[in-house]
Amino acid sequence: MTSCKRRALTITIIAVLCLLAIETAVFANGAGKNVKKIKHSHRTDLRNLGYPLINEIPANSSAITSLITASDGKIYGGTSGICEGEDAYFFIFDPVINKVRHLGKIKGQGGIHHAVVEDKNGYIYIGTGKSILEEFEMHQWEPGHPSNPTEDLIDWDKVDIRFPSYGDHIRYEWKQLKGIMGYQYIDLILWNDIKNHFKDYPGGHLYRYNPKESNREVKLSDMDCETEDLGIPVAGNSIYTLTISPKGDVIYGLTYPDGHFFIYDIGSKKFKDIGPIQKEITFHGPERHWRSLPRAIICDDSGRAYTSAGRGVLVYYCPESGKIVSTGLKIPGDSYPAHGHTDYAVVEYFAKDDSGLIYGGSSDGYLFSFDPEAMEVINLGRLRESRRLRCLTVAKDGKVYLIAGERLTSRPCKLYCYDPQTGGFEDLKILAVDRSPYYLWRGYQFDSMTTGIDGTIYLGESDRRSHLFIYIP
Amino acid sequence: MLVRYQTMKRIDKKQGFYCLLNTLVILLLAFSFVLCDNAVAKSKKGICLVESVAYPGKDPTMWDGLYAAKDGKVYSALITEGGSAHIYLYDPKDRSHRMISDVADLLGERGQGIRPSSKIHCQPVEDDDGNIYFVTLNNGSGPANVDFASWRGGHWLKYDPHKDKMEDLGLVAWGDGPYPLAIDTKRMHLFGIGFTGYLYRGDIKNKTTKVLGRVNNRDICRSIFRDDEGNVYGSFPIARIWKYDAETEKVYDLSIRMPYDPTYYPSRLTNPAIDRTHEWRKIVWDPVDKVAYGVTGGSGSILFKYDPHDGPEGKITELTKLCDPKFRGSKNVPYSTLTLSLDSKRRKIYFAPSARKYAIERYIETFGSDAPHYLLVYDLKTHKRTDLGVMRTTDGRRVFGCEGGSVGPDGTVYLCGQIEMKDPKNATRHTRTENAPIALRLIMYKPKDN
Repeated sequence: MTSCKRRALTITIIAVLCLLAIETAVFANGAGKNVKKIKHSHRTDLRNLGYPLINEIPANSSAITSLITASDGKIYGGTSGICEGEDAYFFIFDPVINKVRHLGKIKGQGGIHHAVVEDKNGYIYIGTGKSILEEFEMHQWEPGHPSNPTEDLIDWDKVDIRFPSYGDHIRYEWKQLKGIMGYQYIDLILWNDIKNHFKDYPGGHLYRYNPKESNREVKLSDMDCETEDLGIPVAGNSIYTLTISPKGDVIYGLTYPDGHFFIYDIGSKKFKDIGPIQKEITFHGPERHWRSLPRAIICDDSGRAYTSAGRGVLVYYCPESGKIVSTGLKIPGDSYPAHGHTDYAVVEYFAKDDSGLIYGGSSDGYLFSFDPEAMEVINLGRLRESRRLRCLTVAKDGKVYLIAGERLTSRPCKLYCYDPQTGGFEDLKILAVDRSPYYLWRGYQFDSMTTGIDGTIYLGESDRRSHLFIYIP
Repeated sequence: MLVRYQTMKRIDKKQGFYCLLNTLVILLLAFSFVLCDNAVAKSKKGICLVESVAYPGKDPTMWDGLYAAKDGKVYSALITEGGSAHIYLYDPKDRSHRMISDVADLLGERGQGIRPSSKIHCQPVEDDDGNIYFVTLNNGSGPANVDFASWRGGHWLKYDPHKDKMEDLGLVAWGDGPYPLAIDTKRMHLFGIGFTGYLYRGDIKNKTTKVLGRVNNRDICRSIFRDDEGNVYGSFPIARIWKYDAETEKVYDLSIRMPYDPTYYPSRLTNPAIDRTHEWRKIVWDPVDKVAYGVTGGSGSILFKYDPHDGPEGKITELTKLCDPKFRGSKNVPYSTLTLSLDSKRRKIYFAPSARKYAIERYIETFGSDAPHYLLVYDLKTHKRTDLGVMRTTDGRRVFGCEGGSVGPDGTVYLCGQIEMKDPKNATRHTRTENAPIALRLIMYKPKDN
């Protein structure tokens, strides 16, 4: 035997002995008990938006920005594109088959933002528009500057009404000198950027979808959704949010960027434009390229449709008078008098419990309750330094589940629970699903929630490559 | 085994005997390894002689921040987590090595009570005028006891070697900074992925940044590349590739799969997660053949070729395995290092694999390992892999874990690695088992056939 072979044999024997010894040592000393277990701290799971690589909603179109629970227990959702030129998709999650199937794309429409409702006959209505998640260039200087190719789209005759926070002499000069004077001001440049973004946009449509006829067909990625086009409520505007009356016969909506409140009467198939919900243009943030407009409407049991308006005041549409009425109540927001502000928080999302109590989230991250009978708003608190209470839903046990956090790349949203019985919030942390080695995903952005008939909470991820998240309380 | 375990639990004396046996056998095995290792060291065969140059600073860590520029100068971006990242410039002509930027100082982060830009993870990139670009981050570098919200975010940096000036090109994103970096020299765009998986595009001329959407999950792809048309590519689990299309300015998830062997162990076995072992670890663009060469994170460090122009989504060809020689044939291979380096002129690929033992419970890197580390070469002409041997410096010092790699215009292979320090005062770390004093040095391997 050569020395090399002897060495190899010796090492082999030692290795075998060592392995046996280690194995013995581990079990003899009870170290096996200390091996960490895989632990799931969240009762969460997720569903892909279709069959991967076959008919899944394309990643750039997959941000879920609308979710509802239909009367038959099925979950319907709408998506938005995250960049220009992407189509919105409509989809269904059927708890019986435990899968998401998309129901087709809404061709030429970039997003469905908080704009899916069900009527009394089980038809689903979809409001569309340009995707609010789509970024566009914000300019530093006025139109005509070499760096800014946009057109001057400011209505200079009404500029004093739209931007009332400036002194009388400045607003007078704006009207007199138009862009020469006004474009020194960054809010006017920003508003002009937004108007240019919508310049050639005809307007978002309201569509009707018939689940009985169209749910059965399985769609491939590029197939269209079978819808009936009911028209454009307000020209040049996206549909920003929708709700439906308790009887399920009248749809209320708000538009972006002009903030018109509109009504669609299902019986007569007619739109009515009530006009702007607020006149002034504000940019309260935290999203810098969004005009501050309310992102939700909700009806109380009597049929009044509530939302927020100028200065963060809760207003409602009164069906009897056909007018927008102020409640005089303000939704919670942050204000610092030393900063000389006239901006204000807007409502992000609403949900109602079984008693008719309305919960809302504000763009400054506050949860509040609103009792429409007592006409009382209670500030229930703010969860994070990061602003925005993005979406919320009331669970079967009355607890409120909510997603808080801005649309930041560095600080993802988190799930929280508010218990009305005890008060206070429970931090349920980042929504993470770990079914490794098969799949694993952390959800960072969410903009819609709903509670299923069995109490399951559904959360719509709103990112590139999004999923429908499921949380079982 | 369970029966044996239960039996032994009842007999305490036997437990003591087995524990004694364990200790003896482990000591015997360790002794035999030391003997074998010394035998290798004393033999000239199997040794890869390298030169090394000290860094002027004391930074203990480096990932992919090494780049040999077209003019032959070598840039190293080193890391002091909890402190500042530092950028060093080595000139092989006069063998000078100097610091060109204290990043926290450059960005005005010192004396503010805030978390600084402690880290540069990316391999620097170069534009057509010879300017070098970096991107900074903190992303968990702490200090952990200082307000996590205080770090402002990563910055794109540009170094002009003609003016010897480092310029801040602006914030990438508030509170986020990218790991990998790529450049489109035609459109003058920089690309990077932050720690939450969002792809950023920095406009060098306008000093603005755009978020292109989320491309990664919990473990970020550490290396991306730009092809000859300006498209940018990265990987995501499981063994997938995304592509940023320069024409449409959108990201698409491709259906093509990179090499992946699920039977190899993940980064750790206690809680197997879908992580970097399911992505590529390092990838480089070959301007000659207009293909990319990459090494997988897991799967035994598979070297592969990706031709993005062959077919609608490109074509992937598996070439060889680049794991440390002692792991060949094994499934418990540590994940790859970031040392993959291409000499496109001489058609060679170099790699210094991790030599640390696979850890079941821990997620550890090659840094700190006591094991001897090899340098491998793959010849693109002959398709042959060669073990160049265990790295030793010309003055006889051991070379341990290496990260980052780049080949200079003259064919010199540069690595950044931990080298045994004769004087412990010069150490910045110690190896885990032997407690040998070590420090990062710029390593140079000069192939004889250049």
